[in-house]
Amino acid sequence: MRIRRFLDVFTIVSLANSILILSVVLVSLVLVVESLPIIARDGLLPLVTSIWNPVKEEYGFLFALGGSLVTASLALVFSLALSIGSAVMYAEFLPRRFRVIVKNLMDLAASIPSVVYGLWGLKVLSPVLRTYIMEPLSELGLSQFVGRPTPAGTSIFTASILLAIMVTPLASAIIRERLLAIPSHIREALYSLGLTKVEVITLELKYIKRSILTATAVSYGRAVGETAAVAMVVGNVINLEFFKVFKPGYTISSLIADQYPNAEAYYFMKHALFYSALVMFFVSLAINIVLLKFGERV
Amino acid sequence: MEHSLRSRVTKTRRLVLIVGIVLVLSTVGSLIVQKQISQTETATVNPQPESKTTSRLVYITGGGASFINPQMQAWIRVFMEKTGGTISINYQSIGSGAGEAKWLEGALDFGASDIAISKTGYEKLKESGKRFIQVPIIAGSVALVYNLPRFSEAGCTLRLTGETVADIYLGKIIRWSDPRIVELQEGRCRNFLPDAEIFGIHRSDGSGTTALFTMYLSLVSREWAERVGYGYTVTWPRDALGLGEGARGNEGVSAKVQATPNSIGYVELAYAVQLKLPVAMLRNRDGYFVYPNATTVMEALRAAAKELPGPQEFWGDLPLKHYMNREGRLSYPIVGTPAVFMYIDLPKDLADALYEFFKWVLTEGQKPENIVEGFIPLPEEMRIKALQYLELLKPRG
Amino acid sequence: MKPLMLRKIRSLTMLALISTAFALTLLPVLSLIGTVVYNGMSVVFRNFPGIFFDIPAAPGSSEVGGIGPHLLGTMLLVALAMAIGTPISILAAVFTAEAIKSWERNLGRLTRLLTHMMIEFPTIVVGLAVYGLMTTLAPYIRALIPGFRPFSLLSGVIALIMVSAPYMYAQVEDGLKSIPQHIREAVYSLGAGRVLTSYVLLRYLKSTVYAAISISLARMISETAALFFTAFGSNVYPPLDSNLLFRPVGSLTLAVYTLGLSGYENWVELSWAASFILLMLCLALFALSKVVIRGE
Repeated sequence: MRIRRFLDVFTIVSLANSILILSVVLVSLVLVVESLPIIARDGLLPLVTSIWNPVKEEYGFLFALGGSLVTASLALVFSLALSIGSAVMYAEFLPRRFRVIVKNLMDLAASIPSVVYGLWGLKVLSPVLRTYIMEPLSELGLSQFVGRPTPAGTSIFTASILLAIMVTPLASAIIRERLLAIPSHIREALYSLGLTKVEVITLELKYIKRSILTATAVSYGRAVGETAAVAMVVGNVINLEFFKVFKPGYTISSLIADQYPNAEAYYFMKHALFYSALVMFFVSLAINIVLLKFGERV
Repeated sequence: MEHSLRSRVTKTRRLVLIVGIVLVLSTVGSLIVQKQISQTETATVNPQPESKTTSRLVYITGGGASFINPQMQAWIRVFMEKTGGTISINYQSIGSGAGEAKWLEGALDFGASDIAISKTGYEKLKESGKRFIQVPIIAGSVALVYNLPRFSEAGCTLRLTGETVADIYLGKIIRWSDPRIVELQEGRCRNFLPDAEIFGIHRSDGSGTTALFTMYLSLVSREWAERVGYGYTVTWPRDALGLGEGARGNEGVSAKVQATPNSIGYVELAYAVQLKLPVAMLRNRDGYFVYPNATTVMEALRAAAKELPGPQEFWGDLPLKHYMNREGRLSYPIVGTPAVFMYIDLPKDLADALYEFFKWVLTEGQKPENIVEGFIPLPEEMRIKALQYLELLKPRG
Repeated sequence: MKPLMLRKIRSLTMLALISTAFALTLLPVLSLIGTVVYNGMSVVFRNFPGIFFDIPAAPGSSEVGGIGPHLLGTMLLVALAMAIGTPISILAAVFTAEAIKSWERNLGRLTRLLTHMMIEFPTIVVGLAVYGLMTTLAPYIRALIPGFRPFSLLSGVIALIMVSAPYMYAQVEDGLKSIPQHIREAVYSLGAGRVLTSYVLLRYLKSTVYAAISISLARMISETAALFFTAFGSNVYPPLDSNLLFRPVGSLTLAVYTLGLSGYENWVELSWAASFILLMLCLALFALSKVVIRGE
């Protein structure tokens, strides 16, 4: 009897899930409906061409798609290294009295609007990266692989570093909370086996693999979706060689931010922009399915 | 025992948290409300004559061109003070194209654009059969800015023609020392031009500024018209050579030009004035080199005012046909008139409020004390015509 | 002897890497916060406390004015969105993690997949989709509420929930899933039903839930792109009447964006001040929640 009643309450809770699902479905529906006209006209052509010429109503966004993927992947690599490192530092080494300061600082960092990050990235980060990292490296002869930085220092590389800095507080918080939540008897058991601190940490990180995966998904998501800050430092140039990361480029969301305000003055531009978002959506879907499958197994 | 005590403590703390947040929010909220009430109170103490026509509060939402945003906010501020808060106007810079589109979709009471209603927009309007007006409200012009430290230090000012500017952005002129540029300069300045590559900076976001600039280039260079064309966004041939780059917003272009020696860019005049960037002189149709300023821009628009089409006609390529590269010794060649769009058949209080605001904009608003630094008012001929168009908004009887 | 040396060296390298990562995480944050405080604080105190109530001064004037409408808008948006979004995301997370029957598990899996995808949406697209939805619904809503427009507080709240709910959901659900099975079984074995068990487990995860809430709050306060075509922004106070929910409102982030890109010195200063106030707002909220959590 009692159990029956509780199950009924639980069924009502599924309403919350339905609301979340419904909202995603509605957003996707808008994406699909708005993309249809350009799909009907060009099919898959916009995915493999790099032209953006509204004057002739020609739209191909391979350059932005590539830019998005390269930027987000690079950012992911940097931010994972930073967030795992800083979370471990916080949970295992930092004296309690510094924790409050660091935690507040990181929470604060996660709350700073991306526009402010963008402004800082443009005025502080870009020149520093250009002078101390990009120029020396391209002088060393790497320029044929990574391209030559422009005088302003804005590039795909700069954007990915800025993104890494932006998503690290969030990713680090997820890992940190999980590390702290590891039951102390497990930790004590590990130490009692005679393992060094580093070995314990390695095992603990294996133990919380799932949360690291969540942090990865969240960071990747934020990196792909970030608009305002990226638009300020990525350079906004139609760059066919988006893999040369020291050159300026575009991402899907910065393309949308740049072009949407005047898109509706043209017949197909708005639809092309929604199409680009739809394609990004499918890429994310694929990545998420892989992560989810992997995550369930862990 | 201990556990239940602890949980009670937790509950108390949670309560404290909630109460705290509510307190903070409500204190600030009520302070704001109070402030607003006191504002309206002071306003009712000194009612202005204008406020007689509208008894209850009207809230107007408008949006569009980002270029006119500073001027719009300044007008709104002064106007709202004058009318004592009976009309609230909210203008947001969402871009010219979006201003037009969202107005068409009925999300805005008025839209604003750097250029006139687009062809797609005009077709939609014809289809819907709704009556509307478009009214120019301010003058606009595009300035060429550059960064040539040695040249500027020598007290020289860059002189360019439309054809050379087109050739620079087409990638046909590579260096500053190209004879086609050198021959335009004053004799003593010719030696100060560096033998360096020109770095061509342009807007990366779609913008009315780009539309005006590329319209002008299409007008003066046949090759530009055929290869590139004009619009809010175009494909820049110079980028393909690795000698050009985009930047976001007028602000972004100005910043990039400032940061990059040997670069050239184009911005709305107000930004060039604000940021004190070196501005190039352009050769006009009569062969004189002119700066963009109040005199030269108004002179060009004065010549164009006579040919302004009716408020409900398709203005489309208006700047191209009537405004740009006009005759006259003092005419600056790249000019336009940002305009606002409104539907005619509106609820009476809304129509009255819109009429009252834009009438004020076109009379008091054009006086120097209400013009923001860097902006240029409409010439008299254009202003009178705009006021005539606005009269269509006034419900008859 | 040798393996021990190797272990020591590995230990030291790891430690060095960890410290470097930690330093590299904190350094940019400090530089950024320093920049905001340096540029923003003096402006706030130049017009104190008017900066919290006034509307922005005319561009190019020597005064800065204030960001009252934007502050009010941010508070309305965030308060409403938190009030609606928090229960939805936490309940959905509980449902997903504690699902037993096969339909429950499937629904949970679908929610997880879809919300994770939602995180990847550029927020500007979320905003556009909400705008599209509201434009479609506007004629019907107008039958109930005359004068309804897609640009409104309501649209802004919906967009904010859509942007931040997936984060909160992912974090809480992830936390619940990682609770060792034996703890869950222990609670059940006491005879607790699923609802009570979920409640106990949530209490167990308190710090994760608080972290999720504060991160969500931060996401909402700092969101810009999703508000462009929903809340729309406003430099004037909306009339505080029964139609408030259906009128455009400003937001601090929109103010930072539009004022910061304007090129007018006093507006750029105001945009720094807005950033500073955003920062302080978050700090105050965090400090408050810290006071509550401390000691537990």
